[in-house]
Amino acid sequence: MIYNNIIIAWRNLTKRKLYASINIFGLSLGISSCMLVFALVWHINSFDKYHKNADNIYRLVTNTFEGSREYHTPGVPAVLPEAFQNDFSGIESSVLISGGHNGLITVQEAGQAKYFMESGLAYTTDAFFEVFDREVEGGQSVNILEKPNQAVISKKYAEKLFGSTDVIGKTFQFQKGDLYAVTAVMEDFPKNTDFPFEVFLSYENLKKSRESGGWNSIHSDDQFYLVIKEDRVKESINSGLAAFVEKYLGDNNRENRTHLLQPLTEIHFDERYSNFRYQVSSHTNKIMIGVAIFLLLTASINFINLSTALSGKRSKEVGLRKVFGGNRSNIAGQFLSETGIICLFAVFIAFVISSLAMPYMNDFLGTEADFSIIFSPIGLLTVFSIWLIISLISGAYPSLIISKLNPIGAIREQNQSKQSKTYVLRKGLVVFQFMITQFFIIGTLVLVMQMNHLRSADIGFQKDAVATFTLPERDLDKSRRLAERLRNLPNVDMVSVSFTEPASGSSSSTNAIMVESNEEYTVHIKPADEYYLDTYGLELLYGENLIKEDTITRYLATESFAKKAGFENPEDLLGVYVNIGGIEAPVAGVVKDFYSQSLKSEIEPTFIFQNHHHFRTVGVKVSEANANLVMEKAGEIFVNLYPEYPFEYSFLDEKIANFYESEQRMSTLFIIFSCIAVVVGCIGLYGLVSYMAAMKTKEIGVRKVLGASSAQVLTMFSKEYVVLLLIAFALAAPLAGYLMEKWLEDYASKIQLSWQFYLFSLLLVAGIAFLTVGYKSIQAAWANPSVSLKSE
Amino acid sequence: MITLKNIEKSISSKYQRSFILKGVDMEIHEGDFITLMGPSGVGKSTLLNIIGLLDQDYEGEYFFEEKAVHDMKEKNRSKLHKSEFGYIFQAYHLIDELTVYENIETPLLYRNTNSSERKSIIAELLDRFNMVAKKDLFPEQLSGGQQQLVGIARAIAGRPRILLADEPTGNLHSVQAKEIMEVFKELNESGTTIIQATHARENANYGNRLIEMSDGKIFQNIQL
Repeated sequence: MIYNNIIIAWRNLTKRKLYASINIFGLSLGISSCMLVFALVWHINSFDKYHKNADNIYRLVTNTFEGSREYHTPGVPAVLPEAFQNDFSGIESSVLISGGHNGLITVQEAGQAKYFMESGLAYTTDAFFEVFDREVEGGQSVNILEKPNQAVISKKYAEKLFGSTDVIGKTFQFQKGDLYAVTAVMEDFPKNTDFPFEVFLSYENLKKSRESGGWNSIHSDDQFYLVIKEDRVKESINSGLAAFVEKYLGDNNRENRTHLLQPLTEIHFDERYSNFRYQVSSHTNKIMIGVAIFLLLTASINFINLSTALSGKRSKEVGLRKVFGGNRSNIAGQFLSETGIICLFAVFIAFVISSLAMPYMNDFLGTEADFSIIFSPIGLLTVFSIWLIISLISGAYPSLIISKLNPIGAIREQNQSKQSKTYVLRKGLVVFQFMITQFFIIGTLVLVMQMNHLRSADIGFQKDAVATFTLPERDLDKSRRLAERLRNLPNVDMVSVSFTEPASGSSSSTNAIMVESNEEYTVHIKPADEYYLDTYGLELLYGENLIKEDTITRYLATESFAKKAGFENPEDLLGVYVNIGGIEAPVAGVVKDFYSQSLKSEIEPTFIFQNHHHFRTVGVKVSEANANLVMEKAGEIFVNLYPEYPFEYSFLDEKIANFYESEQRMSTLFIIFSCIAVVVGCIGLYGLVSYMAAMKTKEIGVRKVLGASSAQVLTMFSKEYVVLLLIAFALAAPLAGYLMEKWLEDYASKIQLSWQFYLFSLLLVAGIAFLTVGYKSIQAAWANPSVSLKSE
Repeated sequence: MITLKNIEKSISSKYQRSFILKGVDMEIHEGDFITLMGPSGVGKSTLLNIIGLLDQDYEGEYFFEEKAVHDMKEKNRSKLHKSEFGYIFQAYHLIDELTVYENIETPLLYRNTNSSERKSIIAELLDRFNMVAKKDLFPEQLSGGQQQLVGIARAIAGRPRILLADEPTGNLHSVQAKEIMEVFKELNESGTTIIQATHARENANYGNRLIEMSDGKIFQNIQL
């Protein structure tokens, strides 16, 4: 019996090759998207779950307040951990990690110095290996980062530095300063960790300078991790934190600082507090799961639609089977095993598609998701459930409806009344599918438009034709010499040395105190030289520019600060004395507002002043079209002054574009998925229209014999779909509009969704639908009635 | 074997009730070869469907070997249907996706006949109708007469006691028709009860009774 069912299924497939391939292909697209997203979501959610303490590790984070605004940082004062351990008991273990250090590593080999520019180094202590699972070769994990000048490096890194893994006792120099001896080699970090450190340096080397800032200095990369096993301990910490802050900060707690325990499992998703790697907002996580479910839904609906449409053609076969003794369950079994087999094909194809697509997706998203998760029990179970559900639903309709038909009627294919009922069902499904397609199209349009908006919006300074690079050393004279030489290059308009470029991911903020009124405001600071405004095209509205000076005697403030400090007319701010970091000086000029971070954030009140201690970025404004050539020359000058360091520069517009990298990636991903949704939708529509055309061949023939023109027949076809399309639009537009408005709320600067926008998306879907339906309809309309009637 | 008492079937439309069958009484004995005759629309097919348990929507009484079919539960009726009746159609109605062999096999599958027995029954039937060489062909590759032979083979594969044939030769030319009727005659002689509906008077000569129908009633019942 089973064999018989399989045979029939196979022959039905091969007999209707077009339908079968449409059907299977559409479904496999849906399933493969689902598999890809499954692997991705699994990967994203597996971050740092592998530590044996995973559920008991917490990070102590810091919140500060200014007025109604809340600021978040994952860092704590470097002096905090010691006090914390003294004041709270019951903590299993804890560790301070000071990450995000960059610099030059020098290895002496046979009298020859080798240089490596490294980023992402961390200072920590032995306790890291207690808190986190990271295997140390030989198992010796104490006294390896306890004393000054000790270092632990990964196997991979040992190979890189020394060309072997037998490196204990070997030394390297960091930033031309301290010499470190390798005390142990640790395993390489896994793909799914937010602690991607190749090199640990002994925290003892950093401790003094870090702790000199006391309780008021917080670096976001100084992060404190604790293992807390008992709820009781956790509760006592939570309730004791306020008193703890009070004890050490006392009256100094101007910004209402509070601390909070953040579970390790949330670190990968909570974008308010950064981590040492990359984050995925829980939004994105949910959106991806939603997209995958939608795709699977539309593909399944397609499949169900086509299968049920086709099964109508088989009522004769069902009738005969009933006449010859088949009962309902026999018939149902047959249809179910058929859809099961077809579905199985789709699943296999989906395996192939998604395993081929996986590396591309990883490349594109910068993730390292592993496809083999699909073959794990949970992955296989998921795939199996998808298979089972789709087979059951698409097999259920023919099993339930067709098997109920009166055999004699079925043989004569007299089931018009039943047909019309299924017709309504099919229409409902088509509406649903149109709805999903439209939803995707609207979403994609919003994403693309917002991305364009971000890229083209006025950010308050010039970003074209400016190249930037990092100063390797904090040597003022050297940097001045460098800037001077660069200025003498042909086609270099302007060179500025500063803390950062105007818009930068690493920003620094501090308190500005109005000397007269003693009012305090949190402001962003941009230490820079006198060429800063001209190099980056910032506009000086009132007063004067900075001058060349070694001590701070004047400040530049932005318009928004003037507004914040209550100066109706920004010009009035000129000459007003402000105290920043203990230095009192007048405001010499007011600068037009610019985005100091990215368009995602608000415009912040900002101060610009000469403070060469913080200079680390060089901006070069070039006038020639071929800026790369100019920068090559600049590179020669750089290497001349800093022979140990590699010269790496980037253009400001690219850097700015990088701020929106995650949006960019997400929008591309969305575009890809919505294309798949549209393709799947079109496939389904095409199949359905072909079926409808086949069903109506006789009707069309008769109409034409009675004098209907091709145009009238075409209208008859299109009218129906236009109505369905409009219904779907009425459902999709408000939903998509609502969700996308929500998403746009994250942006300080955003597009408006107008009615033209909705009209455009409707026309787009209508256009796509017409292209799909048009060909078949025209073919049906033009058919010669004498031929179509004869076949009946 | 079968007794029909006052069988009536009607279709109700908005304003009137029109009868397809009206007051049909009939007695069918084991071994009969009955021919139903009459113009199109007279109710022959409807009567065949009722006898063959394919149509439950009628009034009157139907006894099959003393069992009241009109009162029977669905399950028992379908069991009776499966074991006792075989069908032959005017348009053959073979399953297009199945080969000759598989078409004949279908009723056996539904009767849960085991594999080796199935093989021997089908082999015997193929041999009997000279179709051994054609067993792997699909219906569309056969002539009408050959298709109808497959139809007969399929109908009798489950060894039914009663064979119902609705215009079995209607789509065939006379030589093929004759061949089919010869097969019927043989089957009847070996004990199968046959009821056929036909337009062709000459086909009636193969049977033992001729029932002429008119306007949904039995008009004449002639012993041949």
